[in-house]
Amino acid sequence: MDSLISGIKHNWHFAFFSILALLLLFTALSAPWIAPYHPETAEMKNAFLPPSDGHWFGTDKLGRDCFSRVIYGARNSLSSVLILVCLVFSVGTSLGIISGYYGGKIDTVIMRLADIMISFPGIILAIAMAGIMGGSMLNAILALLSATWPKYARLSRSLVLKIKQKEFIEAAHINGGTQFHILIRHVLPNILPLLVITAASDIGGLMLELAGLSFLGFGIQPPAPEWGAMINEGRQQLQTAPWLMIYPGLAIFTTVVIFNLWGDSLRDVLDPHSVHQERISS
Amino acid sequence: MWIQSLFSYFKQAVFTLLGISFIMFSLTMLSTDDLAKQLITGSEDIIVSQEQIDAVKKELGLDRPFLVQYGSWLFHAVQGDFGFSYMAKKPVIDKILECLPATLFLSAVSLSMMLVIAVPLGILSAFKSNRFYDYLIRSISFLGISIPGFWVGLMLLWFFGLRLGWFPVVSSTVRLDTVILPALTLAVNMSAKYTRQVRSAVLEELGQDYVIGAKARGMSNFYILWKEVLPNALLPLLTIFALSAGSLLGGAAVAEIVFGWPGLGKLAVNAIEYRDFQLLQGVVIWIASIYMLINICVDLSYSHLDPRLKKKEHSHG
Repeated sequence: MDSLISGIKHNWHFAFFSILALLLLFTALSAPWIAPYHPETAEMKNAFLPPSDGHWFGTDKLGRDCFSRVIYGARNSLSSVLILVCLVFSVGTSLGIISGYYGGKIDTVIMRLADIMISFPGIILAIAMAGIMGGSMLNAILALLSATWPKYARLSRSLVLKIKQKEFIEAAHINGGTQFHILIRHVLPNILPLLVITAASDIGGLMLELAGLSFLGFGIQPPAPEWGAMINEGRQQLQTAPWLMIYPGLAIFTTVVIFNLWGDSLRDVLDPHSVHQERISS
Repeated sequence: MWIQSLFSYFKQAVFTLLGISFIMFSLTMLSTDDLAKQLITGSEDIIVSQEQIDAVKKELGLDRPFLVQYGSWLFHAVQGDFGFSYMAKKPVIDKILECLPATLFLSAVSLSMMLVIAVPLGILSAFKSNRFYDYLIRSISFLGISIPGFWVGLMLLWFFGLRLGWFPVVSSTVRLDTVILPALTLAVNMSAKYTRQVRSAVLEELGQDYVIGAKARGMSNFYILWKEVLPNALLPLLTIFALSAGSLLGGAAVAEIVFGWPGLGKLAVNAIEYRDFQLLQGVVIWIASIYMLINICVDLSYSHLDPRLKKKEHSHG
């Protein structure tokens, strides 16, 4: 936490991108005050209006204001990706730590499972899972969770294995520290920064995959506004109303760019040697 | 030794396929009612009673214990029989073999595009590191990583297909002019990633002592690149290339949907929409098998490309 605060003070990249990311979150939270219209109010007489002063991003087939839907869509898109990242981070990391710290049978089981998931294109599993379970935000999140956790499990396991051999862990053992105490007080603080960096730089990529799932119709269902789903809806009117897919797409693009840049700058702040470390551990 | 490593790869692959098929099978078992309903009604919207559903389930053997069903599916699958597709009205395996060439063709074209775009850019970026062209290429590849693939596809479709009319809008037949836009869609994201990796692989070699030595001897940049750097950078690049080839099989689904390309990805999505899980399961198993086959080939080619690995294996075994 201290390094984060000093990072904001000394690294203007990080400060700038943090502000942009917070601005996105703020936009999502205050959508009812920013958006000029309600995202689901249909006015058929206003259908397919091109972008104008009244409707900045035009209107869709039901006459709903596209700008308001993009603003409200930020809520669904951002909340789902943040939930997903937190879930993947906590599930993957805990499994990896358990696996690396305790070893033995439980290690074998977890890592075998991770091997299966990794030797397989994750997105096709996610599509299949989300599709079978039916389209909803929760199912899309669960599907991507099951495809992504092995990466974190493997990374945290290898970090734990490396830390376990250090002298200070041995010293803690000799001093009579319990396993749990050592895990929480000595192992965790040492491996956390790299895992947090990985999670932060994964936000953008996971957002693209979530958007891809909802584009295919396996994410949050209409009429709820969500960027991927909006592009899918706008796809049918590609020729007559291209604005329906241009603006939600730009929204995804901008958001992913901001989060990717933020993740990169966080890496610089938390761990300048991370590139080197990661190469060794993977 | 060679046979031995082949055997261990094979063991791992079988294990993985068993795991995946088991997971997929458990998932499809969650909604057998849907399947039965779909079979009765077809595409019509009629109300079905629970008795009818139970009868169909019994007829298909869906009321048997889970493991018995899985065992019987596995028994047939091993012999190449993945069941019957109700969507396509033909055996699953026939439908898959029908769609496989389209996906392979699309993958081949987009991988070649990726190589043509990413390798020169990555090398240029590494040679000019921290200068203007490097910054430019890195910024573009950064944007390329952050852009949603399906959106790229739609924009290309809108601009080149609809506005300019250069390419057909629907790519439902496999031809050279229909493959360009879907392949380009896939190539955008992949090239962005690959450019970065080519850059870092080449950059790492450029920092080695032998390169400095070659420069000191007055060798030209071209010679250093061609004779010294590329052979050494080949190994990491090959791995990543194989990984992108594998991920294409999955990632292609979105591009195939956008352009209506008749490949495996679109087949999988259609199978989900029709609740045709036999077909879906077959497609997933096939994609997994191809993916693993690619990886095994790459792993085996390592020892040919890098003699050091061969020596190491020898001293261990």
